[in-house]
Amino acid sequence: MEINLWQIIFQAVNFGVVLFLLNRVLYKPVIKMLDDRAKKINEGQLAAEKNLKASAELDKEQKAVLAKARKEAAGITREATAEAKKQAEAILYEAKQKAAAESAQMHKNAEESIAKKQKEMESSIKDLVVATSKKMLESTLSASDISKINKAIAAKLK
Amino acid sequence: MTTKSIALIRTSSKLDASTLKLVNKHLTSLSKQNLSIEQVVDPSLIAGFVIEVGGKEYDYSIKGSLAKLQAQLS
Repeated sequence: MEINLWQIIFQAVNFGVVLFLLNRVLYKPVIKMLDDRAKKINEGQLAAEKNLKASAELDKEQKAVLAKARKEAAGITREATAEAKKQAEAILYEAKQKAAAESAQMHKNAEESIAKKQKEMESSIKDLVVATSKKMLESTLSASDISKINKAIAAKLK
Repeated sequence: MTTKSIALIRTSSKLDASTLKLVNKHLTSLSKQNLSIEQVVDPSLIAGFVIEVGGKEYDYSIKGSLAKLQAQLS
């Protein structure tokens, strides 16, 4: 086998031209494109991390706000419940006082009414007793009895 | 001439002599003088009598006693 020096040189030059052209037309743009892509991915990752971090912060903040709101709501509810309970107790106390006063007044009125009726009844009974005694004496005393009574009264006079 | 004072006796029925004598004795000791007794029958007295003498009234009747009893009970 014969070695053709010119052919080797030609092939070498040809290889060099191809290498140059490939480097110029293909490798550099591809590398540049890959670098740009890597850069974009990196930027995207950074942005994503930043967003994630911001989202986490936001979430944390949201949770804090929510917790605070819940705490405030619980406080308001507690205060409102306490106030309502206080008002209910006051209303109940007032109602009880009023009922007790009315009951006492009714009791007093009833006692007064009973006492009045009792007095009236006693008076009626006394009048009835005297009237009955009078009627009975008038109808039962004979002339002889009356004479005896008159004599007895006269005997007691001093 | 002296005039006797009059004692008015209201009775449920006319007093008999012995009763009248007792009453007269009482009135004499009460007024320190002899009195002329005048009787008036009042059946509403039931029994006993009421003496009116010297502007005063002495009630010894059953009616009066009942009235006193009623006053005490009221």
